[in-house]
Amino acid sequence: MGFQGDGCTLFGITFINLIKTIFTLGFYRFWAKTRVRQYLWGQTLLAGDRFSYHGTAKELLRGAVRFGLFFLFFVAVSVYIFLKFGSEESELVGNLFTVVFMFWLPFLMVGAWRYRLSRTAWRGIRFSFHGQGRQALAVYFKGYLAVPLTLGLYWPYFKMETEKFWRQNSRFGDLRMRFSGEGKDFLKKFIFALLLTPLTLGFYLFWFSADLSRYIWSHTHIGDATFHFPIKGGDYFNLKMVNFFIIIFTLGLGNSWVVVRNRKFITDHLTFSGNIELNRVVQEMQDSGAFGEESMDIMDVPIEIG
Amino acid sequence: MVTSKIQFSGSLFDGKNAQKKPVRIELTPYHIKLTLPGRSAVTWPYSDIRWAAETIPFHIEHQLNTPGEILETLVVEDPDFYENCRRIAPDNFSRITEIFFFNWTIFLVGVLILLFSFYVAFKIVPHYFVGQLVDKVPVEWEEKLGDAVLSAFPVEKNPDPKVMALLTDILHLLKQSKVEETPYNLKIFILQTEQINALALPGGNIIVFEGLLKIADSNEELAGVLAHEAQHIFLKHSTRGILRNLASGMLLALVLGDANAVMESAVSIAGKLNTLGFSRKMETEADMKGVELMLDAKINPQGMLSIYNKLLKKELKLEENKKNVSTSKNVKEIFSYLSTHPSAKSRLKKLEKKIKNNADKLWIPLYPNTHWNEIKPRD
Repeated sequence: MGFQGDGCTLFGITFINLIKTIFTLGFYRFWAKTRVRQYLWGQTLLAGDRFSYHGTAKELLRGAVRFGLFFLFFVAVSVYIFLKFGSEESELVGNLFTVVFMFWLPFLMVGAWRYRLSRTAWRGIRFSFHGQGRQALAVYFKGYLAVPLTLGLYWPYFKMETEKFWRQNSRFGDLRMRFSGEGKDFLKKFIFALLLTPLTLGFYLFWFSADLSRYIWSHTHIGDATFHFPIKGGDYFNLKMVNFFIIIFTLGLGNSWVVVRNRKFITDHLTFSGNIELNRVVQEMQDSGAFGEESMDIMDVPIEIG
Repeated sequence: MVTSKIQFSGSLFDGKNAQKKPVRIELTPYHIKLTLPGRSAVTWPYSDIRWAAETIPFHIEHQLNTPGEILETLVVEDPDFYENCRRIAPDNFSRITEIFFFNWTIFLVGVLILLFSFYVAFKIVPHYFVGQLVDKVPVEWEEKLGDAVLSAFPVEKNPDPKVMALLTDILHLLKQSKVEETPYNLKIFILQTEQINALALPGGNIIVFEGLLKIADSNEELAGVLAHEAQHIFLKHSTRGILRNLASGMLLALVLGDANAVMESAVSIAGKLNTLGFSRKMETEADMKGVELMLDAKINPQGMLSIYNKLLKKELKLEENKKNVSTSKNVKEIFSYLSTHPSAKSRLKKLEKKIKNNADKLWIPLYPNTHWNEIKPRD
């Protein structure tokens, strides 16, 4: 894989976006986001061919408006309860909404991921996601219950199950992805990390994350091919440390370079071996609105899947 | 050096499968002509295509007018393709990465438009909607709101009964004398603090700070303060102020796209109510109507004027002190009554005029048997 983008160009795009966003009282941000994605996707190459992003600002806007309406409804209800009954009741309703939200979150995540994949194409063929919200709810709910009950030991199993959910349900055209990772393979490393992380003042986390990504990718398959992401803890440490200093010393202005560095890190290391009969991959269309996508964004939940 | 040519070879993804098909390309001023081997040529008008990548490999996307959003992608690796395309194609088939021209006139006009739209969006719009809404808010809601704010203040639980009796009596007298009926049930609370201030909460609660009580020297002066605060309530000023703050806060959060902030502004109404931002207009209105209320109750309106004069003097003196010596106590902190009630001098002038115009009205001494200076809280 390869990434051709550079920080300067991305900074130019982001800077113009920022000005336009301010001048339109925030409305331009959907166009801004689309613009940035078009650039990032387009500069990412696999086997010499570019990825492309087909989402439109209008879709994002529609998603945001719908989610905004839901939010207004929530606000109106809590204000109404507050005024009609009192602050205690209003707090109760607020908590109720929080619970509803927790159950809703997996659905929103699925919506967001589905939107993003369905707007991503390579060689003119789109990706798609076929997981269901209720499956996500089951996976995440089980994890949220089991991890504390097992004093954290369930975490590797939970992690692999979520990865399986996201990866196994993703497709490129009619080509399915498979995931063969299992929690038990990673249990020892996880316990090791639990012991070593406090002793190394947290620095071991870089090595642990590198191990984890390496394991996850080498158990991800598409067609007859398998991915490889042979990174070491040191690589990861270098990336994150330099990123950290870029952000600190540029007071955040260097974020574009950080984005580019993160992308490059992935594309420089991610490879796959084995056979994919790309010529036989056929388009499979799927329709998806941007509701999930925008709601995740509004709630400021970063989607870090894959 | 770019060589001028109009024919190139490239490849095409037809959006149906991932196969790369070789294609011959010819540039014309109106469209791009594509010929697949063994097929007849197709044309892509420039209006239907866009640059997806302007570096090698160049990508151009073509949206088919069929349902299902199938996209065709043309890939060209020839380094001369881009410049030749820009030369032959119309100008509006433009780059993705626009060049940003900086123009001071546009910039300044933009800033002005920006400021103006901010003003409209966060001042006028909430103002208008709240104005439409405020009269429809039921009194019970206002009372709920007022009680919630009140609970944020540690008001005196066992106030001096003599003080309370007098304050309550004055308040009742004022309410009964009001010409129009009012649904509000006025209640008074005392906050033990040296700050000189009083707050009118929505629905009828009035909080008087002890510092203010100490400054007053007569029943009439107390009546002046209470008449002013009572009018804030009758005129729904605090409800209006809160709704306005809420509306602009929510609007801002919506523009910034930050739902957490929307929630916060809605949920923590009570927390933010401490700043009941009254406008200058509201203050003057409460003054004028307050004087009318005092006259209706046959109370000498000079009471309001004299306590305001005292407050103004005290404020000026404190400010002077602050200039000379660095006083330990923050002036603003102690003295928020007139400073939250802006431009005290012009208010006093208006008040004097109003009282002068009503000099022919009759008034009688207020509770001549109770002397405020004998019962008021002491240091």
